[in-house]
Amino acid sequence: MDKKQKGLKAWNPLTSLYLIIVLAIVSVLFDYRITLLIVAAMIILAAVSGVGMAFTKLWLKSIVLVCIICFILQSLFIPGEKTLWSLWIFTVTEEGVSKAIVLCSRILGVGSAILLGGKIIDMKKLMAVLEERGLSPSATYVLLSTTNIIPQMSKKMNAILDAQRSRGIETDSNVIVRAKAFFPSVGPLLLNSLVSAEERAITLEARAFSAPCKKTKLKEIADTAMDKGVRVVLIGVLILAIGGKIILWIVLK
Amino acid sequence: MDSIKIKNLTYRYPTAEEDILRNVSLSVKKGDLCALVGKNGSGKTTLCNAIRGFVPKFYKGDISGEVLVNGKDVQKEEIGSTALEVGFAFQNPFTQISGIADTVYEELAYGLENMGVDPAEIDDRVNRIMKLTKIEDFRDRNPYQLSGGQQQRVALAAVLVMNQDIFVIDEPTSQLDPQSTDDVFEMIKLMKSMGKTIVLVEHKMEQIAEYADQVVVMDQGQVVMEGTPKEVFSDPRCEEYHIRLPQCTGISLDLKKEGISLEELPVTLAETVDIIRKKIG
Repeated sequence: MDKKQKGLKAWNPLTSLYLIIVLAIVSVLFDYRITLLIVAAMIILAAVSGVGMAFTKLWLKSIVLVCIICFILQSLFIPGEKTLWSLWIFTVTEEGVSKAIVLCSRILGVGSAILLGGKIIDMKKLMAVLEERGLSPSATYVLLSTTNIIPQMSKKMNAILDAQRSRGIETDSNVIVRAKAFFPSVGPLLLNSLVSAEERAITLEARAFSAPCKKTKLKEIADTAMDKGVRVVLIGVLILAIGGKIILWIVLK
Repeated sequence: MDSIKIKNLTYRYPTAEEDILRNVSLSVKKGDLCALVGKNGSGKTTLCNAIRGFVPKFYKGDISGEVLVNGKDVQKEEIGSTALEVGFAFQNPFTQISGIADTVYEELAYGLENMGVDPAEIDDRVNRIMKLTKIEDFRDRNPYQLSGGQQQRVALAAVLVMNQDIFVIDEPTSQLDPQSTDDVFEMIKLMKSMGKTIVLVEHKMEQIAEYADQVVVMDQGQVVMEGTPKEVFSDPRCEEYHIRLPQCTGISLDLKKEGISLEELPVTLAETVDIIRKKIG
């Protein structure tokens, strides 16, 4: 039924999740040089998994942009002794720059990891695996249905706005007019959502959601020996990294 | 044998001032289609919820009396176990989509997954029901991108695939166009041919006359009339309870007023044609 998945996408989603977490933690533990290496590795991993372009585009537009903004703000406004460059009221100091580098490398590491996770992990499969491992089906339902229900709500919001407009509530004008339109639009949306939540609960009951039997999954998610091996290696890497960091810290002290 | 047996059921919603169901007694034979009709607010939906056990388990409130489904008291059963006995579908197609399936196929499989059916059997059953209900065309579409009528058919199929003995269907066609209404009734006919017991709330009297074995008229929380479609629709009290008659029955009554009386009062189109043919000779 499925196309053959490439690279990380063929892994058990739990293994991919481990990988993402380890990459994020390791990049936070060490300085920016390691982070840059890790981010480079992530782009390669994304490319191997067939989402190289999509990942890189999104990454440039989000994480890199945030990093640049943070870097500029931090280096401009953190006071310090050693001035590197100065213009009018702006002064860039060495302390500012070094703090900016630390912060940006963390954002870069963790942000890129989350982004990569979003691209390569199939949420549905991940939830199925987590459910198998004891996470409550209600929790997985909430996480999964959110992605479907938000577009539904925005559709409903548009319908409500149209309805309110037809009653003469102005929604397109300056900030004050828009603010006035806020309550008559959001109120019905909330009430509406409460009603749908009740109906949805009934729908779930009708689909035997709380039936007293063990649930099955249509798609079995393979957990191969390789997956298990990779996870052990990843945990090893994580322990080594944390250990290494502690040793470095003691030595440097 | 009675699939559903309700004895002296009285119920009041938690915040309500009056009882919504008053001393309702009703039984539905196995394999029968029982149509509930009556004004809005007469308690039809509440009765459906009581059969499924949502009243009082889900909505709380005060209840007295007994609801037996397949001989089991639903008030004593867990709300989840009744799901294995009673299939339930309702009015709004948009909220009857589970929200976690990307395709119609998965939507149908979801209930079976919850019931713990073996994956190979799930595939088998879903494919069979999609064929029977003629929704194969949307197999790989996102359920949210279907039209209301298509969604309602998917919702009914998703319940049908779970293959309970009893189905409670609450106003399935009230938001649909005529074509989708016909499609939904095709599915209800299919359910009936599979030997299911069906409780249906519906306002389309022509369809009720055609498919129902038993018609129950409710008014202010009480069962006021009960019988075959013929018995109910030929009862003059229909007017009193604002029950709209099937068009053929209405026409025949008008003819009678004009002095052209037919031997018996027809309720379905086929019957009317038959009777008029006989009369003309």
